[in-house]
Amino acid sequence: MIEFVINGKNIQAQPKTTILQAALANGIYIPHLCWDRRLLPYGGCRLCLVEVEGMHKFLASCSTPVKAGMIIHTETPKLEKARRTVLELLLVHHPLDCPVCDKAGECDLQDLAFKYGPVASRFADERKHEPESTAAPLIERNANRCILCGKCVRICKEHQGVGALNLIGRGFKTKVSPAFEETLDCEFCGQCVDACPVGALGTKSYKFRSRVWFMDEQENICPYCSVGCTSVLSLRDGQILRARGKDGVGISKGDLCPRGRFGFDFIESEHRLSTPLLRKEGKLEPASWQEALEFTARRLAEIKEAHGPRAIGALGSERCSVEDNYMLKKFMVLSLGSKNVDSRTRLGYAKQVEALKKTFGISRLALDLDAPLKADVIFVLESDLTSTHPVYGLKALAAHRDLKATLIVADPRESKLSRWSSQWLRIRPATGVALVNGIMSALIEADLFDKKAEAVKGFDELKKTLERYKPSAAAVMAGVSELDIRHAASALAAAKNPMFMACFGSSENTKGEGTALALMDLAILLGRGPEALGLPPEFANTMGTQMVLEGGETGLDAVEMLYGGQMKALVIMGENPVVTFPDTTRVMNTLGGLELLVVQDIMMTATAKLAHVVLPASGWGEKEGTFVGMTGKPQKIVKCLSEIGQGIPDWKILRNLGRLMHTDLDAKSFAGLSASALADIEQRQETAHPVFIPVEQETRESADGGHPLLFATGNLMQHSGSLTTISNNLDSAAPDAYLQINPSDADARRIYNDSFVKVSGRNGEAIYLKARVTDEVPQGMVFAPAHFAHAKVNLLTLPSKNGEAPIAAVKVDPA
Amino acid sequence: MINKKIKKIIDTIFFTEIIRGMALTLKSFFSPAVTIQYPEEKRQPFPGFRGQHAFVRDEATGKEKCIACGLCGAVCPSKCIYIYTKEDPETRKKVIDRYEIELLRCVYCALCVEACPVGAVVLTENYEYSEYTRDALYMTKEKLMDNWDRFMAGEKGREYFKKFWTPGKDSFRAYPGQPVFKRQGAGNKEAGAEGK
Repeated sequence: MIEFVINGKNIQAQPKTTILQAALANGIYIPHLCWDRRLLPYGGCRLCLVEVEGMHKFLASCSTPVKAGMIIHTETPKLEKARRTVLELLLVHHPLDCPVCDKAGECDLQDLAFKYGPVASRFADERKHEPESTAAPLIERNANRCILCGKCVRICKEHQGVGALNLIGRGFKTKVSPAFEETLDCEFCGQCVDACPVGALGTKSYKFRSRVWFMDEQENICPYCSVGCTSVLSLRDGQILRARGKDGVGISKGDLCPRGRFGFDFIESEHRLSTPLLRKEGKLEPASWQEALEFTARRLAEIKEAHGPRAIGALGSERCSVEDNYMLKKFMVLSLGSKNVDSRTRLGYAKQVEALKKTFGISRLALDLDAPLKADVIFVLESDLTSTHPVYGLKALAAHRDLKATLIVADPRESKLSRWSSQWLRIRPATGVALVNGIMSALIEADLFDKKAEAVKGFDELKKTLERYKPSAAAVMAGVSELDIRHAASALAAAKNPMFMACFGSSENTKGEGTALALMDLAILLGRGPEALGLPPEFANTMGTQMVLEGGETGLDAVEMLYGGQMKALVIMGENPVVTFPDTTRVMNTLGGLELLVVQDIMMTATAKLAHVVLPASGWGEKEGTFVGMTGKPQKIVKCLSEIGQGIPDWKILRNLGRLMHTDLDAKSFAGLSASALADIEQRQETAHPVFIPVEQETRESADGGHPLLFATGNLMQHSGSLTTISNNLDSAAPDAYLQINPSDADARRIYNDSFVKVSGRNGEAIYLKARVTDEVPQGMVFAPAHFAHAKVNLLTLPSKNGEAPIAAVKVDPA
Repeated sequence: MINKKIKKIIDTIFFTEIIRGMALTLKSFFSPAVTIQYPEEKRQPFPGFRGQHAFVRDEATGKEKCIACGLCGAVCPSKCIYIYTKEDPETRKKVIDRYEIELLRCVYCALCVEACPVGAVVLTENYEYSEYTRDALYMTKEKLMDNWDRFMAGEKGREYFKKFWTPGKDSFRAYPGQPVFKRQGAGNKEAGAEGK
């Protein structure tokens, strides 16, 4: 600890702290424009100047580390004069269009000009007349207002790891622009917009919509991935106008991704349901709640009577709150006597939960968002975490970039992580198990593993299995060099605190339960427990849904219900199996053959179109609730909008239905329901008892002459499930599905960029997609995002069995 | 004490207060009338009167002057101005979508007029705005511009701008004694004048 004095106040701080950090931490404000907590000091704006006794010059406090015994003054007449001059110089070119600038009212430059008060600049010069850059989706740039602090440039490069913007030109002509002044084409995370201290960067959806002083602010948990970032919503007249991250707010401390910042507008989409719909003479017609619920209750009772409760199933949703899912389970058990309740977690998150149960004997993994920052080697297996969990993925990037951790990425697809990695193992698609087995075998061969692991149950079986995965053999299977495997193994062995990251998403078909098991075996072999695993659940409430639905006795799971063909009636809450479940044909057959399909959803989905009854539910922001994200801690979501049409929260729909079926589901108030739902998933104390479960490299289908390409599906950064596709904002950034194909594969088939291709699978189905010829995918692999309903990507995918990776083989031809 | 008692007795017996009152009535009876026979006869307000609002029609363009900054709504003490803005798809400029004033809540303080940087909203001399419905007292942009045409268009409006409604943008001045860059050859008299 170093002691020094700021403005007569004795302050202590760690060495290497800058004066600005120390001052802000102690409640002393020093004006600054170009400094950001997340970025390296830049010292560009010269507003954070301070006087240090004994120094002749003023020092830029953002880039000067404190020294013991420093006596610092932050507000003196001389400094004030210097700052006023700096502001005057900034205002030479800055247009005084505050009355129409959306930043006015929260603009740092405006605030400082107000505080230090040059009413007009002494320097007269022509202002800039650059045209606004409005061609790109979501983000607009106004070069005239820019003060060239470079915050956007640095946050894009240093923090997001993208580098889409830079300062182009010299002197007065300098401006912020993408390379060669092209149209901005980036991730559209919008971090630059939040970072901009003036109004030079703005979002399209908010442009000229309101002034900041007319809006109320409401913090709410983002409804998309499981990180659980807090997005700060600005509301006016019961409408969300924008969402932004605020420094230090929430577990993400102000970081947001494209979905969190722009995805809020799904809630006012024109596809929202406003009345209950009932199928009359083959057509879905608007009906009253009374009519729809009475019909549902009567039909459910009839089917239960005729086929028994086992013929009725329900699907919960990772999008709905813990309370909604708890109510669904309760409704099924108490009103219908059926235990068949599951959700889409079965296709994704459940794989890792099953693996955790088998290897460590625990059923949940509470993650720390900052855990990657403490690791010295990070191993990412076949997951694009920066797309699925952007803010979590950023931590892995930060660990590598700022803290010099080794980042090993094993992924056939190029991703932001692979671009920044220390070692990129470009394996064949869905060969993660072979690679990990190879690494383990190399560790055992070189005697580099943790000796405690020898005592772990199953070690001998593992050794036996690994004999077939000698690094040389594994290298052939995974399509990387033997040296690479040995290199990765020695890096992992040398690590004091290695971390293993992957995401088991329900739409990703390159990983099965086996992949999770292999990763956990590797962790145990290196003497690590579940704390070294960074396996985030997929959606905002995946963990909560899984915990609620797995509680108590369980009946058929989602795969058995949708592909087993024994169901007579299904209640589907907030899920869209026609789009999000693999093998659409079989799903459609199952759903089409049902005697009763009840869908409660916020929008008219492809599944709802098949339903007998469609019940409108209120979405995120329109109801209270609880999400359990990757931290394992309940996070409250807040009601800040009024319901659309006749929509009511899912738990209320189920309660009303329960009442009509003469069962008391004991949900008189939301608070009571919430308390009992959360008590149900109260943190159980679990201790990990590691066991080795050796796994073999297996995939559902492999490529051959007829179907030579492996078809991987996955997520884009701008989308999440199929919900985000009704958000106009996100659709403008990522409007359509496409097929990524390697140039050599494309050339061989005469496929060109943006041409349509026919993708046919072994099951005889074919889909048509636009080709995107890119070397982001290796030869022999094609990739399509699984979000878009009209692309019908899931016609070609398959549900996995026995822990194998559910990848499919396809043939691609020009359409 | 005794005098007061005697005075009270005389007042009671001879009704002197009534006689004094009747004398005042008689006096007024012969003086000229001051009552204005409203509504047949209208009162001319003093210059600078703060009556019903109007939205200034720009003589050059024939459209509203408003740049949609929302400062009127921000400054309004009774929060009766609702301003909704959007981007004009053609000019890409900020324009008003809806501009509404709830007259029933307005206190006619004219702070909106003072706040307006371009002189787009003003208070006219119209004081006759009693209506039978609340809707009629909910002013929209069209009604407000109509008010301008009816009460303030032409010379009268120009006069008012000079005397009372100087827009905020015209009052940005350098502070006294502020050094100003002078063009070559300019004399000292420009010092302290309008800054750029």
